[in-house]
Amino acid sequence: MLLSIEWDKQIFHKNFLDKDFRRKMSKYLDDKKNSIIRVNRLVDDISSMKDAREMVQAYKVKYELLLKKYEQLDHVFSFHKGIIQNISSGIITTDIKGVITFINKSALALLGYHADDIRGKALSFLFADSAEGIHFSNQAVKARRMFDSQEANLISNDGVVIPIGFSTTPLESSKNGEMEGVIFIFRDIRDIINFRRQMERMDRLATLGELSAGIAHEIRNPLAGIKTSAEVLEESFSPGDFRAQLISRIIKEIDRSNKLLQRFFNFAKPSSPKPGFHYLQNIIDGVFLLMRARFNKYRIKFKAVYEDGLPEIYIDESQFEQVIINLILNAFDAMPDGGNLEIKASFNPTEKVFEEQIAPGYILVEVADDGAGIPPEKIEKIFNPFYTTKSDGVGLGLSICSRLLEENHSRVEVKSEPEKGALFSVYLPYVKNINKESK
Amino acid sequence: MSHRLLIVDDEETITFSLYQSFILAKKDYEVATADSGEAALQKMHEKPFDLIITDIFMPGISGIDLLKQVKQKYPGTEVIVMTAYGSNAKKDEVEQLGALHYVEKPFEMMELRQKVFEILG
Repeated sequence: MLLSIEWDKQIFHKNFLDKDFRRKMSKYLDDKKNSIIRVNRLVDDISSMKDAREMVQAYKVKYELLLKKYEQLDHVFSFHKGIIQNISSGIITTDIKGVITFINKSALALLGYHADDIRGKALSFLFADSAEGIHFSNQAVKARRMFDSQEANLISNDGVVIPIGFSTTPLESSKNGEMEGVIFIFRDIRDIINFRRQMERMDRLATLGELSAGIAHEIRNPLAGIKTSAEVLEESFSPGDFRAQLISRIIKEIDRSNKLLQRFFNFAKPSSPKPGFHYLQNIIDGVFLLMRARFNKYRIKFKAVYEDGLPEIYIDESQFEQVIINLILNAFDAMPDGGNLEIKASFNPTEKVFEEQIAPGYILVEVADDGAGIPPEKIEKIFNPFYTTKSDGVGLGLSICSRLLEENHSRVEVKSEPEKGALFSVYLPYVKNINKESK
Repeated sequence: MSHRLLIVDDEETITFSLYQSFILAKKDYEVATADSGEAALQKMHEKPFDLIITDIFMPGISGIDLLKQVKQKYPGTEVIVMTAYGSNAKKDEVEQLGALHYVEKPFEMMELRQKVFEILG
């Protein structure tokens, strides 16, 4: 039998790499091998390639090279993606109309959104003041203005206003360099703003301290003159004389004014602290003993909880006592119908109270009451001098607390909601008691 | 011989009321007043005093300078210092310079008078 197989070259090339085709072909050839007399083009073609296997091998090498290239690219891509997503700054990109096209993880976390909530919204949507947002967005996108260290307020998903510092850069196409949108990079600057406020406050207090020394002199001299004159006059009348009684009232009022002045001066210019190592428990116990009668009178239950192994605190004892007394008196006022007052102390070994603190760690003293609480519009002002909600108060109690703690490199914060009580947190920097260790 | 007491303050109400107070005490003191450190030194130069009560902050020679000069020139003269400053900032300094007492204004006249009685008898 004569069998002649004519293979179309193109069909052969097209199908040669197909396994099934090769298998079928080899089976066919195998079946017919006894009848094959001549193989024309096929042999011709195959022999024109060095070896079919070599060709497959070449493709395989190409494929692996491609795969490797892809992996390299993927690595570069995830590296950049990782940087963009994990950088602590918020990064948002917009298109040429100011519509958000991308938002990174830090920005989402800070603002409390999911990417899907945000993509497609105008950048100005994120600003607390939308007019301001539109202004910045227009300036950056349309006027191509680049902002640097600009400050603004964003608003989070749950309505919290977050002060930020931001910069903007045009996003240019890598192909033709045309502007495709804007990169908006920002950081939460709440800590910086708090720090700045604290510095301003310290500055004001320093001025106040200097001013008060001058005022003290100007007020006390006339007070002393009035008082001594009144005392001399009082002495010249017999004690039962109504004029002597009137004069004794003058003296009493002078003393009252002077006492108020004294309290103000204590606030404006406290004496420099004389810190030492003290057990918090001892100080709190001492204060409680001093105030026990009042706790009973106001029907307030007192509880103190100390974390095991609480380190000693390094502070001016009498100033710290004054802080605790003022915080307790404040709690009393918040609980006119009785209630609970709890003091809780714990140790945080890792964090600092202020930047320059040498060794990390702080002792946290929390004073909690379950009284009337503080409305949000008042909470920011309660540490301001002469701010008071009480008809008979002068508004120095809490401001003296915060002032004395500042003098002792410590800090007080408050959290409260109306009808849910108040929590005052006092942060005292940890100082290692070296003397004690060496003993 | 009666004891001599000098009250020094640029606040006339203070010198006058203290002067009256010591007259009222009927102690047979010779009481004089001066409205400045310079005037006080002039009076001391004429005739020394046993006790000086002086304010710190005055125009011209301050109470502290007066205290220094008095202790140098008249070691036998005692000094009480008054101040209207609301702190004890100068207390240690004036006591080191030899003042017997440091009195904050406004003071209790009776207490001040008692201190003077203890010094002068």
